[in-house]
Amino acid sequence: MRAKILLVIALPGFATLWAGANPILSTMQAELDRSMEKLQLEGEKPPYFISYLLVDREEFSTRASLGALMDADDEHYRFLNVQVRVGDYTFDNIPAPEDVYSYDEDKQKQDEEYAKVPVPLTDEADLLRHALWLATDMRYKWALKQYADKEGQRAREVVEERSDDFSRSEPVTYIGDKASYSIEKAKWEEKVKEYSALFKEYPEILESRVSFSVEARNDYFASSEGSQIQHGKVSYWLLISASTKSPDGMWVRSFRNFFGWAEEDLPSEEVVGGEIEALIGEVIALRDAPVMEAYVGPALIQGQAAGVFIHETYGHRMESHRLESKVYGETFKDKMGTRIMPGYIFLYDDPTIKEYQGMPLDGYYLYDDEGIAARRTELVKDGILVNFLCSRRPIKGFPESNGHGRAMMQSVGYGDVPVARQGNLILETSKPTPFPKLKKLLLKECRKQNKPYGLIFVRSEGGGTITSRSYMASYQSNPLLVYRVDARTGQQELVRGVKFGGTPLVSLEKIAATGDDPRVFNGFCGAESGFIPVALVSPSILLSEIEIAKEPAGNQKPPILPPPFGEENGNQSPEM
Amino acid sequence: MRSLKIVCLSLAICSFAWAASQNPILAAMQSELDRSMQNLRMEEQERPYFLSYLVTDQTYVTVEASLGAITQSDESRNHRLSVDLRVGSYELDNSGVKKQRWSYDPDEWKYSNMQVPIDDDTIGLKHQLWLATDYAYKKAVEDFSKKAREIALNPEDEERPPDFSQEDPEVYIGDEAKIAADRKEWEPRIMRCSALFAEYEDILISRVRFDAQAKTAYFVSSEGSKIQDGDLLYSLEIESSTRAEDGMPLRDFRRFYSYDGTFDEAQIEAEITRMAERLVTLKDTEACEQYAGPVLIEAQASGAFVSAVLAPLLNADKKLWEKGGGLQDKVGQRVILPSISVYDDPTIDTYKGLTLVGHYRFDDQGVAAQKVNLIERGVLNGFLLSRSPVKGFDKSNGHSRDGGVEIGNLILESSAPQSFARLKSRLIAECKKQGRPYGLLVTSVRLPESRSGRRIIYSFSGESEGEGRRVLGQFQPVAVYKVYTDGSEELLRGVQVLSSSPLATLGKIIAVGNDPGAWSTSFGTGSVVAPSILLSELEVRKTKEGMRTLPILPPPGE
Repeated sequence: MRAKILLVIALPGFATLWAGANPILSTMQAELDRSMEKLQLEGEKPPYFISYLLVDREEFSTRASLGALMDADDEHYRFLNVQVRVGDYTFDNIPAPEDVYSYDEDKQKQDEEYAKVPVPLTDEADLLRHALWLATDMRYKWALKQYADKEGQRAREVVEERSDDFSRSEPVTYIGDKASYSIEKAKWEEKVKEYSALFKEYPEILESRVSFSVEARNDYFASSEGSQIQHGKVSYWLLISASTKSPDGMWVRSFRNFFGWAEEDLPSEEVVGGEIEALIGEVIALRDAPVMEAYVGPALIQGQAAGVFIHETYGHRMESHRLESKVYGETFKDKMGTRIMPGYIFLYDDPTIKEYQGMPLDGYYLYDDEGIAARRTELVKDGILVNFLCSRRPIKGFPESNGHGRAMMQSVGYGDVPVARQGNLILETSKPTPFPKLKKLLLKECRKQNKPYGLIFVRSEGGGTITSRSYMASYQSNPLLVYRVDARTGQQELVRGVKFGGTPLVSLEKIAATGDDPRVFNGFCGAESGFIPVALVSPSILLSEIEIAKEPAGNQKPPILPPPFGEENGNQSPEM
Repeated sequence: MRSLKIVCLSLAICSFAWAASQNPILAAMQSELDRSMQNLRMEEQERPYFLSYLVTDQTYVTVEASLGAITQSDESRNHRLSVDLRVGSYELDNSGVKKQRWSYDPDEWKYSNMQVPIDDDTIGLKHQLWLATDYAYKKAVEDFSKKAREIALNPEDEERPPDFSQEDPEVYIGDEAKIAADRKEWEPRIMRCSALFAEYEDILISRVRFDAQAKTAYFVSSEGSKIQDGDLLYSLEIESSTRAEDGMPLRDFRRFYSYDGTFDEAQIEAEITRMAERLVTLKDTEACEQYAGPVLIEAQASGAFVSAVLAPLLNADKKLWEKGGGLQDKVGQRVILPSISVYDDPTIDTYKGLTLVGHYRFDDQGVAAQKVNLIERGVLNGFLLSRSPVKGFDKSNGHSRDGGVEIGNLILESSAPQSFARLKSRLIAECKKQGRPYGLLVTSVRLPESRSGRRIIYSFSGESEGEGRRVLGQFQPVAVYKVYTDGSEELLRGVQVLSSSPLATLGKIIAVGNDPGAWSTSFGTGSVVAPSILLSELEVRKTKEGMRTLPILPPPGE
């Protein structure tokens, strides 16, 4: 009997006991409680919500070129984000995503002062509490100003139907393990030097660089709603880039990036060596390739480049704030429940998985930056639009977050207000077509349209998309390798100097087939809330039509002298 | 006998040359420089007449703490390259051409201020030197043609100074600089110092920061210069701030320097205590009002004043002079009190026991740093010069730094120094003469900006607008006293000095002290030594910047 009663009594206090074991979270809780209870400027609204997010980053990085070290960094730093809301869930001070970074001189000064608040790197409670006190005070006063501004704005605007500013959410308690790494710095400095030395034999490659970095990120989140979260992850990156100049002055480039959750995830020396050889071949071939002219015709977007294509045409337009705003294009606003892609396509965003078919995905996270659990979110099912990516800023018909509220969270003033973002965006198909067949279909489509060429895009370095109304809703993507394929003979020729792009609704209608070769693109996506890691998975995609245009090109002549030769002492004069 | 001497001499030369060729970095730089000078040319274009490379290897270690906890602990290393390539001649070359229009040039941002790899294997370094030199040459050819055309179309006066001075080459192989500071050793010490602020509840923000910087410069030129020179500098920075009840920010930053990494902990602790107590006292003092009248600036603070007002005038800065802001027409004329002399000496690192940080051997154009007599008995003698000659001065005196002309150790002396007590009574006498109820005494200043946080935060240093008058942003008084004509004193807060013509301000100096103090410039590249200075008039007003309300809640209880 008595034991049972004790158990029952212990349960409500369970969360607090756990938090008590975590000094950062319990310090945060203490200042949260005090602030919610007492923080109020006379005659003004008190806060109705406060949250703290402390992001701890430890990073080691090193870079080398041509067998020698360029630089190295060993850093440990923390960023404290404090969000104070005044008003209520239906209307509060937090600006709409399109207004978050409008220039404000006073905000800049405020941010400078905020940045001066010292944050401890250890779990030392006194300084952390002191910092929370000062930061909360600053943010509360700023919130009052934001609220007054927003109220003034609202009085002037036509508001058709207004969703709430902040969605409801159940508090969460989760204490994960602290993420950390143990790395042999000297070993990696040697490795990047060795890898970079492989370029030595090819001095015609003007620039080459190998970078290695490892980062341990630990997040501590507490909110006045009662959430207490600690989670962390360690990421490893190996980046290899190379570029050179064509005789007409245009820079050509290619790269490889490798991402992993553990040191062992990074490829072996043999694999890296092979990739570097391939990379060298690509850059030299690009240098000698002819320049492609502007063109419209069928195209096969291979693997990684397809992921970027989906991200730029579609991905950003699934971010919920873009669907309820006078500033954004609201491209898919009224298309919920309608067919927007071929019926064999299934598109979803799943930040909860760390890898896909053995390939690590850098868009993984457990909890988003608003303290909401990441959730696998189906976006397009059988070609039909079924959902959007949501943060805690609701839109009509989507009153709850699905754990996609993300921000860079690295420095104050930029990337410190979460908005709906992607995580791991994955496209799957129920009609996977092998690549050789896709190529045949490409040629068939060319002949059908009477086009002399088809195009194949291999790999991508990224792209961009315009979602505001100021310009036509459009996107562009920068493939690394572009092949012009003769429609009659199937002969492939590498070309350079072009990117592809178009408008989203048109392009999605041009999807003609999908491949059986899913590939992962790990990278960083920049938008209103800064740069965050995002992964894209897609098989190859055949488009019946795409437009290509020329890239900006420099016109400075290549170097006058031949490259310097090897002798350290310079005793031997090089041949001309 | 004779043959022995010859043998010794040749041995000495051999060993010296051997030492030079053993340094792979210099050898790689020399090799690429020679190759470029010999072979680099475009058809129908000028060849380079001068080429130099400066490679700087920098290592930083930073440890910072606040209230007993570490807030930052980083180390980083980088290597940068700067290329100076000239076509034309010493008389007329491509230098100084401003970029007129925006054009898409992906090469430009790649090759100005490049990062370079440094290692025993020098292929990577030579490769970058090759690319950077190629870019510099093409740009030089373009700029030279622009400049030559402009001069032809806009005839200037005949006596246009040459573009590049003739200097002797320098050969010097010093030691490479290596930081001997271990972050792990410094963390507890910095934590301890920072914890001293904990007992002052009124202080809102405080931090103590240790920085170590090792810099090794490698320089070669086509004139035959070959320099390897390492420098090590350690600094300890203390910062604290609070607010008065009316919302005025009260800030103090102070930096100490050391060449060997040792700091007197007792002295630092005393300084922290002094700073904290001063700030707390300032909270409850009266705020400054608009005022114009005699001001006495005590030594060390006076260095900041000289740094803000006089130092910029002594740099032969063509750009500033074109805007009409310089003293170029005042050579040979009196510009300051006749008892005052000012010289700059980068060859020393102490002055009467004071540590000076403006010590260096060679400037960034490879010219040996020289002592320069700038003002003698009140008369302007010359300027700090780089290799860009100005009217009347055709040789460098080794003051080209950070892409401009900067002071090294600027020292102000007087042939009629007065004791501080005497200066104070003169202050009062001057008040009476001018019919003012009080004069001002500035006893301490702070740095205009701090290195706080991971990113350098610049508060509004420089000048800011306010009611049409500009503030002397580089001179930031912290503790200022009203000195009444009856000798009594009252502390003031929030004093900002309004700036007027620097020459006019210098003309207000009526006496100086016998108590030199040293002040370091913001980036720690120079020092100013000056005694207490009495001015017949300065204009001040209450600071308007950064007024904010105090925190609503009391500090979190223990």
